[in-house]
Amino acid sequence: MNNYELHPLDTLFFRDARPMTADAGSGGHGANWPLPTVIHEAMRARLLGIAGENRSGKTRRGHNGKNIMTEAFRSLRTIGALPCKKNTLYFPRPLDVLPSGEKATFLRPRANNTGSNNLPVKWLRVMMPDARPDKGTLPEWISRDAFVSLLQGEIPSLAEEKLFEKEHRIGIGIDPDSGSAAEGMLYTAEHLRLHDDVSLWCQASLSEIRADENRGQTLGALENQLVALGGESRLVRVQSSSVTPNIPPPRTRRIKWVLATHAVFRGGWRPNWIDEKDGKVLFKQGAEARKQGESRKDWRMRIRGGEGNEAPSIQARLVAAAISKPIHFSGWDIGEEGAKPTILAAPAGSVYFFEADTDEDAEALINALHGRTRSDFFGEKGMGLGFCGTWTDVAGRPMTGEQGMKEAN
Amino acid sequence: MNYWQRKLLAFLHDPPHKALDIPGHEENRMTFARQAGFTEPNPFEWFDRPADWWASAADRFPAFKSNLRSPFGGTEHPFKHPLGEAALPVKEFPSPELLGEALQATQPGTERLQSDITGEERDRINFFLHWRRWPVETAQKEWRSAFQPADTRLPDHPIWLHNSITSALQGCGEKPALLLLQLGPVQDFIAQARSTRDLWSGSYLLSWLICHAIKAVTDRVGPDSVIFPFLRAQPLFDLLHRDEIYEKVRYTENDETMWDRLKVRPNEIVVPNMPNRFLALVPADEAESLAKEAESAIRKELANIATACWSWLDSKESMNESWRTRFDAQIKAFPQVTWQTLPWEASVDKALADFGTFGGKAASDLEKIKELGSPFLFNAGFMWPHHFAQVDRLLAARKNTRDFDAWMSEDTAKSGASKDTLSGKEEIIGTAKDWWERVRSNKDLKHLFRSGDMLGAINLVKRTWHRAYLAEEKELKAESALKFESAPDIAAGCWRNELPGKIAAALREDSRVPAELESLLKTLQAHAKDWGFGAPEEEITLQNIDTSLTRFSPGVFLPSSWKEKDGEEKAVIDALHTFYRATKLPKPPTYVAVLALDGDDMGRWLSGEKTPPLAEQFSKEAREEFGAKLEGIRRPLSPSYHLQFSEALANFSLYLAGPIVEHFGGQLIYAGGDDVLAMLPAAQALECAQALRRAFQGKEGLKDIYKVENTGFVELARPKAEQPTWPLIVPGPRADASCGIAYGHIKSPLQGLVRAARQAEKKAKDLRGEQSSGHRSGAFSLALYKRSGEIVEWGARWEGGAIDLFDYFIKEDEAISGKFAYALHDLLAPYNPASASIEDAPDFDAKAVIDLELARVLDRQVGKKDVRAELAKRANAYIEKLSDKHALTDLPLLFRAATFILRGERA
Repeated sequence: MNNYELHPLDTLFFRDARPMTADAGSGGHGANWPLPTVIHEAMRARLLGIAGENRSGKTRRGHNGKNIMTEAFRSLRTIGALPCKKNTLYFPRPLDVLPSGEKATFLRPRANNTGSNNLPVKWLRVMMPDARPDKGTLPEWISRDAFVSLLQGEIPSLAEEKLFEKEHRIGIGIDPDSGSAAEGMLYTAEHLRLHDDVSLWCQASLSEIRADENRGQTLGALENQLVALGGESRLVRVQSSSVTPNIPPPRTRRIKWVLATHAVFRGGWRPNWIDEKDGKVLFKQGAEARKQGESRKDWRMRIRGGEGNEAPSIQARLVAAAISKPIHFSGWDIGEEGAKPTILAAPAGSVYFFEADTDEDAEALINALHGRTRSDFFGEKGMGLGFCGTWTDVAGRPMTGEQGMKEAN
Repeated sequence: MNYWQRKLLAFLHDPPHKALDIPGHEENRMTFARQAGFTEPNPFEWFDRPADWWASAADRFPAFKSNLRSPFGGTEHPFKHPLGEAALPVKEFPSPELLGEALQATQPGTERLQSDITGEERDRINFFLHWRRWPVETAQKEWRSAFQPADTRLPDHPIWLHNSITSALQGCGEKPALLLLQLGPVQDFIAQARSTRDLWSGSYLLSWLICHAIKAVTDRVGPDSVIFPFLRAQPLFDLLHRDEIYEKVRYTENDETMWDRLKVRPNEIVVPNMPNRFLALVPADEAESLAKEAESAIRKELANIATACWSWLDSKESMNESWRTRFDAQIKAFPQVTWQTLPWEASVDKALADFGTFGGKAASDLEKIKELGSPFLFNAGFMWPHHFAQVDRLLAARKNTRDFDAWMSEDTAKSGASKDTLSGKEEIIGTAKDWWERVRSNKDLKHLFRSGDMLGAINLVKRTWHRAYLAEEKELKAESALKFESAPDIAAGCWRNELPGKIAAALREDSRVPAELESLLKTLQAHAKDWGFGAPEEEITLQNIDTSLTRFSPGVFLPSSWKEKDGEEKAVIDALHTFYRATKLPKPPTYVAVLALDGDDMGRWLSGEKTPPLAEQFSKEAREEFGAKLEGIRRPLSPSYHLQFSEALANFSLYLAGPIVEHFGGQLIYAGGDDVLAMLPAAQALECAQALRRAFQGKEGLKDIYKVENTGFVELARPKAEQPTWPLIVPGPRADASCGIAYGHIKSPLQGLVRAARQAEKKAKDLRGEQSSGHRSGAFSLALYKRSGEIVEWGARWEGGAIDLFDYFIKEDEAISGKFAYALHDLLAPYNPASASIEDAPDFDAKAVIDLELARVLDRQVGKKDVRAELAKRANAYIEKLSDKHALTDLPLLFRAATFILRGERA
């Protein structure tokens, strides 16, 4: 993966599907942080442009009946974007950290549920905070160092650092007939203005195996290019970056997996690789990234099992999940000339708590999750990027080594 | 003896006037039992005494000895406000017999109940009527009955509540449990709106659904089981029992039903005032099934509403059955219901030990109280603070996992489908270029939908259910009950009401005015109906101009009301411009305000962190006995505290919030508990907020709405039939409320204004400060969104001198130049450092600079000497309490905000 920073030339505009017209009742909601899919699509569109492939009207029908504009750069994989300020990456604050007085407090899964509740599955446990949470606010984005501390079960100072602003802009409705300003048709829109020293960090790669689809172009072609990103074709300049997340993996059997980007799961809040019956992880040992030359089908077989794959499963189970309300997103389908279907995603910052039976299982699970995209959909576009950390029980024990073995047994 | 009979015996176990006649209370309760239909020699044998013991331990002070006695009544022995620092001196009764007679006269019976209702159902209704009607009818005859205490030594809760909690615990059998259920999302769902009717509709739908969930529980275990919200006399809860109970009680003498007698008014029923969660006391072994039933009731009722909306829309503009899958799936995805049950821990020691791990001071207070009495006096009821805190934190824990399903993968037509224009999320129902265009031009539907509207299922329900379901199936005509006003109507409402006076004044100077006005009104009348505006039916003449004027929707006087994207009414716009030019009358204001008021620290009040010192709630005699031993101990949470807290909020939202908002020409959108959302004319909004706060605290305010003899208790100035005529408890002086107000042009996006008001309310909460009494004073925050794009934000504490200065500035407007605020701003702005890295010089005296610059601006921009002096005095009082930095910024902002509110865009 190559690392990039995207530097906006002005404001950016990532709106939802609500209309912005003056009397629409909603106003513009365009100051959202861009979805990973938006980054992917912008980079691919620019690559297509460089390769002379973005001609309109050139489509063919794909196997699912959808129009496919072109095969070029279909192997593009991206991760991000995350905010980057002066070579420091920022991550969404994990949702297992809540404000409490001067500092913050962790949510921890309880050993047993008390009374009864309507959690979606019986095996899921509730989480409770160490200290009483309050109505204070914690920053939405935290630095890489703070993120690492939280993964390691420590609460650092979580001061708000302004990375961007919402900028209200008044627009004038244009009368399509006259091309002049329509009387009384003012509208407001929110734009995202990154601070001067803040960029959008992302990673990208292209498969060498499918290089022939890419008209001889490589990612190097993007260097210093202006790329139209999001609504209103706002521009960013692409520059290589030396910044990497560099998040150390934990050594623990109590693993928490924190989403750094939104994830779309077949089960809504529940990843498809978690068994709905008992919360068991369905990955096989050695469930790692696709190998060079490995087909998608073979790779799926290898990580999820199936006929002919006798590799042992990772013995671990999901015990709790800190998730806030889902993200709704869609987009515009050029082929269909209409809105893409709305999809619900578990939001970035969501935390999934696992327990592994043995150190080996724990290591295998961490290898399968840490720094990888494990969204059931759009993983190649950077959805479902997550990092592993450790969690402790209410008494503060991390479940490692011998002690963890005893507890697991 | 069935379940309901035993509950009724529990409800009757203490006669409501026991405090007046303790020795005679056993005999008195037998009288009431006989009157309730019990013929057994000693029916109270069937009542489980543990229910009484639990209720007493939960509500009272178990360490009192029986020889400690206190009288009740008069200023020496008043009823204590449960939130503290307020008391109601209830005049002493001449004799217990007098109240006993009133109670006998008002005790409900089953003799008026339809004869075909028999057996257990008859007993259920008998219990319901005792719970619902007896306390109210007695208070109507003799208000002092409403405040007879359960224990004269701790007179902070009435005996009616003790009886109600005892009957709830009787229904729990051997093991009580708490059930806490919450519905969401609230704010996001309500804010998806394009009109005041949309805002109301979302709020009311949530109220409606939670009320059905509550009813699912109360149908099985009784209305007394619900601890909050307070249900007695709750209009919507009453409505849900109209057909099954109230209509079945007949008064043959004047051919009325109890529903007729209740006089529940449609305009009270349709006010959304149910909070989005409830707490119930239920049998532990049925808790889970009750919770599931409550959740199921919400989903069933929403499905019924959705089906009615589908059929109604289909009858007006044919819908394609193939859209139904998507419609049903979207309805199914709403709302998010979370619940938690918790069986009471029977062992006091175990519960105390557990509470000690998270309960903080509340837990240590219970430990200390327990040391004061014999162990056998303390039972599981005593641990109410633990039970409540535990179920509350468990529900919060449950909500940490916001589960959701993947969305409707079976809907193959999603690709290419437009999105709901209000939420931006769901695919629309119907086709964008065909069905929706037909809907917007359909004669029956076009007034419900505006240009560009295309909605998904849930917003389609929000837009139509008041007609399709409430009016058609429930005979509840919300539109005529509430008269939803548009933003232009609200902005111009006060202006229209003042128009006759202005015209009379103009007449004296210019004789052309009547002719111009008559011509204008005739033009407006000719076009108003086609545009959906209100207009007089009769012919307008010079003689009836004043009355005709008030029959027009105020918005018709605004030229911008006659412009829509699809066209405009040029003749009317020309007539309006001609009229304003010719008469020189000021045009109606074009700015409205959205007000969001919210009680402060409600979570802390509810969790018991702010309960008053226990000894202060004691009678004089009990304080003398125990005061020293209870130093620093707060009144423990109790079920009666929760019931009264909820009752106080309900009284504010049911009887005060609506009339106050209307008094200022506004439209109430939501008034649930401590939360008020309203739209108001810009110039009246801050005054309305102050009036709401005073009512919330039970302090003197709008005399034509309520009066106050004792702070914390209000009496309605003109109670309508069946409305309370006795003092009503409101949150009181120790509680406070903060308010955010967003001002915007009538064409501003409504969602944006509501969101801005909520954000301003949060800013107001941050402005709150400690008072000398140790309480935190509430605050307000204004956000003014000018059409030019400029945003002015200013806020202050209620008690900091800001309001005095603001009000005076508004009052003396005519003596003050319109440039005043900007002149002061320009002079003080250079003293504000442009960057945080610039520090003030060590000897910089900001307040001295403000004095000098203010004096200069006052000299140049204020005509009257006395106004100059008073403004300077009030400004000094205001900035005295501010830091230098805030004084430099906030003072000019106050004047800029006031100027804008007074003059709108002319500022």
